[in-house]
Amino acid sequence: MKKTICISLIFISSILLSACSLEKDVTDLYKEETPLEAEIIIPASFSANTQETMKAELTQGGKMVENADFVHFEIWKQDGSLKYSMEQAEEEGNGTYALSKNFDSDGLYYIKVHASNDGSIIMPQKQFIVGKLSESELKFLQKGIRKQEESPEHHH
Amino acid sequence: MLGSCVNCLWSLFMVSPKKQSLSGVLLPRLNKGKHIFRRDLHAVPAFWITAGMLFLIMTGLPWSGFWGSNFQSLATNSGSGYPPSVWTGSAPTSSIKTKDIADVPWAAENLDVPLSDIQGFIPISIDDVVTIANREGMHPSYSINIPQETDGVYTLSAFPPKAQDEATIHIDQYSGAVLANYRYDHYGLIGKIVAWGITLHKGTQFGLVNQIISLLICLGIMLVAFSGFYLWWKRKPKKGLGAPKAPQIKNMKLFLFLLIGLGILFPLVGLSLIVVWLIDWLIIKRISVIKNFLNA
Repeated sequence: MKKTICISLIFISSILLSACSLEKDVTDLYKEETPLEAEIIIPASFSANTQETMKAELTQGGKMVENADFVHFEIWKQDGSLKYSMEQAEEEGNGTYALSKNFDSDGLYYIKVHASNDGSIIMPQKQFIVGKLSESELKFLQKGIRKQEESPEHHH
Repeated sequence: MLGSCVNCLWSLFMVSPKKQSLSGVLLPRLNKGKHIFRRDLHAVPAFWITAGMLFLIMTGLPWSGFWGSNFQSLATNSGSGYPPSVWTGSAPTSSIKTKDIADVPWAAENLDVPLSDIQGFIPISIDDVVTIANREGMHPSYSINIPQETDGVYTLSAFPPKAQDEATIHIDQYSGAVLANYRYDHYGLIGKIVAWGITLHKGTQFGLVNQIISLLICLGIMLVAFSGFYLWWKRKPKKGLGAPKAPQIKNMKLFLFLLIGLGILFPLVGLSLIVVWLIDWLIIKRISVIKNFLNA
């Protein structure tokens, strides 16, 4: 009798022990979000005194986003010497939104895309380089501090 | 904790009256002399405290280490527990591809990494995360988990005093997108019950009243423990423990099944029972001094 108890106890506790991991698609059983996704496209090279076009390709749930609630671009220089205010990007179709700008001064830049559609709001940011980096900008990058100097958050 | 649960059941077994009268279980008998009163001082409060104690045990179990995490996983897998990552399970990952993330150059003199690798997504600042938290209406008690991996996410979690205010939000560290936003309303039925159980157990759900009730249960448990010891001390013979001779287990079928059932439901209890049985069988039964002392 005691032996049977022993064996069944060990058997059942091993079942319980093995039951402790979550199933892969368990998130399907609960509330799910369909976040916006953005690809920020920067020109391969910048030339002085020419309008360069920055683009954002928006997708949501695997589909191109047409008529997004809003798409604003915010561009500034790392050293704080230049700051473009937030501007609305123009819709080009196929989920692409674009803004053209003149980049006269060399250096390290940031672009932040503020976009919203169907309840999802995103603010991805990319760093990019126009021309040559200054010594301090290079040092800044090498420090590995991914944080830029004081993000200009004046739009709130 | 589980020991106390098993103990409660064992005690209920012992006090269950053989005759019909419930005095001595529900109410103390004041006119039957000192011995009976001493016994009732233990048994009567114990009977009433058991309900509160079982409540505390049942509400504490789901967040215990071994039993709790298994229970939570089963509940989450069934779709009626906490959503994944609130209690068990990992957070979602960022949808940004690794190659699109900005690299950090490290050589001192010049750019040793191709320009295209430096031009990439950089994580949003903690200020942005706070902005998102405010926008989504997080309870102000939230904490932020900062991503440790390149594909990690910011996780905001709040377990405030009231279960209904709980929230867990995962934010893509590059795009700031809300990847998951789990509120109390999105918990399954078991998840909601467990969440309420935890805040009731911690005494935060109803504030002071809640804590006073918990305190009374706690004091009651202490009273029962001390009165039990006192009862034994007053009754024990001069020599030995005064433990009653154990009845043959074959004569206690119902109790045996209860014991096995609990051992299965709570594997660690089962394991402990096996260890105790081994000690009994290998040591106590074989050494006559111990055997006599314990009256085994």
